Amino acid sequence: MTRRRGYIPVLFILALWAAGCASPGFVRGVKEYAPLVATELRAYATKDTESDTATRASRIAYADALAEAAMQDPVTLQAVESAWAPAREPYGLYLDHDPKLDPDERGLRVGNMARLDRLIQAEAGRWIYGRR
Amino acid sequence: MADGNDFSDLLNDLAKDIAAEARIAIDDAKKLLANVGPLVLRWEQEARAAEAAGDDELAASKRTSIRHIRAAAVLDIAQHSVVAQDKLERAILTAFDRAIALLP
Repeated sequence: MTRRRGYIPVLFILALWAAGCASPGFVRGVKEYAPLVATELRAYATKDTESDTATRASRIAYADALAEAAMQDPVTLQAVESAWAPAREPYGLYLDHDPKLDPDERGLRVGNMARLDRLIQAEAGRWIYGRR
Repeated sequence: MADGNDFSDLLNDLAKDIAAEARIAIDDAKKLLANVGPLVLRWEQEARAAEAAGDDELAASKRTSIRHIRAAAVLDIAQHSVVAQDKLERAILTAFDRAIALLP
């Protein structure tokens, strides 16, 4: 019984660690990718002459919110999800409209959107102690 | 009732799961790396040509594409690392719950 009890403090400390913030992989991925999307979306919204002022302003706000979500300390799943959801569609529009992008560049960016979706999904599926 | 062997089995299964996840991550990285060289070279050449022509905006776009390749690799690795951490947490916390259940 003494040996069994010896596991408990170690496991308890590990449990506290595991129950904490977003996983390091998630944070790393978001910090690498979100600023690229934010910069491109902001540039697109600023130069877009087809949309009205309110649409452009909202897209700039989405870009800023995404950049901010990636800069927060700590980065949280909720903040990234909330910022990514409204930014996703206008960023897709940008990819369709930017003549500077060749098919490989466009394909890479579309693939990265799906990669962030999968990362968010994986992070959301994490089994967090106390949230089962 | 659970005993020390249960923890050992749990951790052995965990080691297999994490090794499998690492293998998938490495395969993803191999696929990505197979195409990276020519793309980076082409986009860097296009960026330099754009700079020489005074088109800084196009040059910036090409360099951003290069950064997107890096981001693709990081996002792939990140996803596998999140899945591996999830498995680690599940195993450790399941062991924690079992250990608590052993208390008299």
